[in-house]
Amino acid sequence: MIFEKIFIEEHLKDHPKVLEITKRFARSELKYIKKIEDVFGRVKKPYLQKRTNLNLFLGEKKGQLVKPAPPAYGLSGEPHYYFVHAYNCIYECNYCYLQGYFQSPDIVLFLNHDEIGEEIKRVTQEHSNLHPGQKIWFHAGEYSDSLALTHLTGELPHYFKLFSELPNAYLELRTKSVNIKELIKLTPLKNVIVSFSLAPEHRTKVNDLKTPNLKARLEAIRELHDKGFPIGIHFDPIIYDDHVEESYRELIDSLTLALPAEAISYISIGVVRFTKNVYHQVIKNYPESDFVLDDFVKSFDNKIRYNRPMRLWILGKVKNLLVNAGVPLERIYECMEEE
Amino acid sequence: MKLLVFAHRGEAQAFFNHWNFSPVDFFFTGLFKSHRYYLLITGEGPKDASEKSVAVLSAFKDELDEVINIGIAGGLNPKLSIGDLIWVRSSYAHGMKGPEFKSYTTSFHQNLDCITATHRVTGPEEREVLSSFADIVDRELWSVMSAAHLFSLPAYSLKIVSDDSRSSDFCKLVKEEAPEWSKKLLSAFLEYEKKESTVSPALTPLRSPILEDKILTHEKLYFTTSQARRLHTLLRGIDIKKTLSEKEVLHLLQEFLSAEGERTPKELSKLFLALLDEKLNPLKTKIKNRISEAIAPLAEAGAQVSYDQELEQDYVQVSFQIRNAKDQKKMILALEQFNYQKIKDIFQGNLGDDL
Repeated sequence: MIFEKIFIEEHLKDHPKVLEITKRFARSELKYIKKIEDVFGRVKKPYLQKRTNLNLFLGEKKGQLVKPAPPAYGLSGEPHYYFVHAYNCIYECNYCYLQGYFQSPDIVLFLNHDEIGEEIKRVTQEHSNLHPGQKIWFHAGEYSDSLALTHLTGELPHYFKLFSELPNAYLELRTKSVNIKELIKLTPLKNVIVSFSLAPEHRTKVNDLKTPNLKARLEAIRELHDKGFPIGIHFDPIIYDDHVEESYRELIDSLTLALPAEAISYISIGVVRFTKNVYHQVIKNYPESDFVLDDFVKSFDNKIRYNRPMRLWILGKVKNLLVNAGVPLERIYECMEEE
Repeated sequence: MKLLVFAHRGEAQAFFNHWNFSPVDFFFTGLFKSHRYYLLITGEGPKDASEKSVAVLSAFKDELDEVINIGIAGGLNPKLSIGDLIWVRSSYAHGMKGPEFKSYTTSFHQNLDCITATHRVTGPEEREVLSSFADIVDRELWSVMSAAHLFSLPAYSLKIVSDDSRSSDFCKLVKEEAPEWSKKLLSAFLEYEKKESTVSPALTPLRSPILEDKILTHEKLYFTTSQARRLHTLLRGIDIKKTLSEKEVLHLLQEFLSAEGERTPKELSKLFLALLDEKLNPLKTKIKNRISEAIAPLAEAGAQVSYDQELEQDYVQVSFQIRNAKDQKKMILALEQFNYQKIKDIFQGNLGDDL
C-alpha cells in the first residue's frame, strides 16, 4: 500500500503514532494542515482514484464521538451504538456505500482514541444507570474496516483494555480483512466480538474487489476461534443470482468447517440495498457489474432494494440453511429489513 | 469535429502552422476553423474561458463531438519537471473563497490532476494550498470542462508544465519558450489522434448496436421512446449477465413473432419486452405468476384485478361491475374462492419450493 500524500493536523506533528506512520511511509509527501476538513471532502475526488493515488489523513475526530446505530443494526432488544475512528477503506467492494458517502476515497485515521474511549465509558455508564445489568453494544467499522489497518493504527490494545473494564458493554470489530496479527497478540474477551463479512466465493471474486479471498477469511476465522476469540458473521449484502441458494449452502458448509455453528456468536443476513445516491455511484463506477441492472425498486425506507417477495424469499432461504446447519435461530438477525 | 481550446495564441502556434485555420466570423475574435477542427483562443482566466467556450459550444454544438483544452500549466507536484506533458485526469477549481466542490474527470488521462485558479498563483503559501488538491495549476481548464459538461460533450486536457514547484517566479510569462512548448503539445496531440483512430477494445460497446437496431427497426415491431430505452437496458442486462447470446436473442424474436401471430406492432413490442424481462429476471416472473394464480378466481369472474407492480405493497385492487343479481352472486363466489392469505404469503417471500 502506498499513500501519495499524508496530511497531518499540525498539532499532531509530534504524536508518536504520526511519527511511526510517517516513518513507515517515508516516500509519501507530508503536508501539514490545520484540520482535516480543510482538505478532505472539499473537492469531489472520484471514488475510483483510490486505485491509483490514495492519500492518508491523520487527525482527531471532533463532534459526536459515539452515535446511536440505525434501527435493525444488530441483535434486537439491545441498544447499539457505533463509534468512528476512521473514514474509508482500502478495499473496493463494488456495492459499498462509502462510494456515495464521503466525497473522497482517501483514508482518514483519527488518533484520539482516548477521547473516544471516554465517550464509550460515559454512554455505558448512562445506559447502566437507566437499565442496570442490560447489555450495550458498540460497533467499530461503520465507515472503515476494523482490522485492515490495525498493524498501522495500533488501537486494539486500547479498546481491549477499555472493554475489559466494561463487562456489560460489547464491542464488535467488523472486517473483511485477515489482518489478525495485532489481534492475536491480545487476550480474547467475551465481550469483544470479531465479525467477518462473508459471501460465496464467486461473489467475493466479482464484488469484494481487493479483499482477501473466502478461503483466507475462513482460515482467519478458524485461527481466531481456536484462540478463543468470539466470532460473529455477516452474510450481508446477499446478491441474488440463479444459484443463490446453492452457493449459500456451500458457503455455510465451508464456514461450519472453520467455525462450528454453535460457536457463532451471531449472524446477520441482509440483502443488497443502496441509497439513491450510492446506487447512482455504483452504476457510474461499476457499469459492467452483473448486479447493477437487477430489477431493483424503491422500498419502504426509500432505499433501492430487490422487490419485497424476492428479498424476503432470499432471507428466508438463507435463514433456513443456517438453522439446518445448526445455528440457533435466536442468533440470526435480519439486518436493515422491516419487520 | 473537435474543438481545441487554448488560452493564448502562443500555445496554439504549432497547431496554426500544422493545419490551415481560417478565422470564423463570430461575436468575438479568436475562433478559427480547419477541415477537422475548431480552434478557440479564449484569453487568460476562467471567466473568459467559460464565456467563450459556452458561446462556441452553443453555436456549433451540432458539429462538435469532443472538446480538448491544450496549454501550459504550473507544476505543484515536486516530482514534475518543466516540459513534462500531462493528459489531465481530474479538473478542480479554486476560487477566492476556497476550492470548488464540483470536479470533472476525463476518461483519457494519466494519474495527474489539475486545479484551475481564479488568479495568477505567485506565492509559495498559495501554491502549498493548491498542491493539496492537484499536481498542476492552470487558469482555464475547469471552465472548459464545465462548459463541455453543460453540452454533454466529452472533454480532455493536454498540458505542458511551464514552471515547477521550485520556481521562484511561478507564473512568469513564457513567451520565449512558447514556440517550443507548442510544438511538444502538437506532437503529443498528434500521437493521441493516431491512437484514437485505432479502436480500443475497452471502448467498444458491450453489445453490438446492430442487434438493438435490428430489433428496433424490425418491420413487425414498433417501439415508443421509453420502450426503446427499456429495450436498451434489457439487452445490456442480458449481455452483462450472459443470459442469452445475440444469436439466441434473435432466435427468440423469430419464435416469438411466429407464435404471436396477428397483433399490432405496438402490442408485439410490449410483449417482446416482457419476454426479455422474463429471461433477465426469472424470479420476478415467477413471483408475478404466483400472484396471477392467486388472483385467478377474481379474474375468471370478470373482475379487473391489479396489484403493486413494484411488488412492495401487499394489496390487490378489484374492480367489478354488478348489473344484476347473477353478477353479484358470481362476485360473492369469486371473493369466497379468493384467498388473500396467498397474496400475503407471496409478499412474505413464501414462494414454494419449486423456484
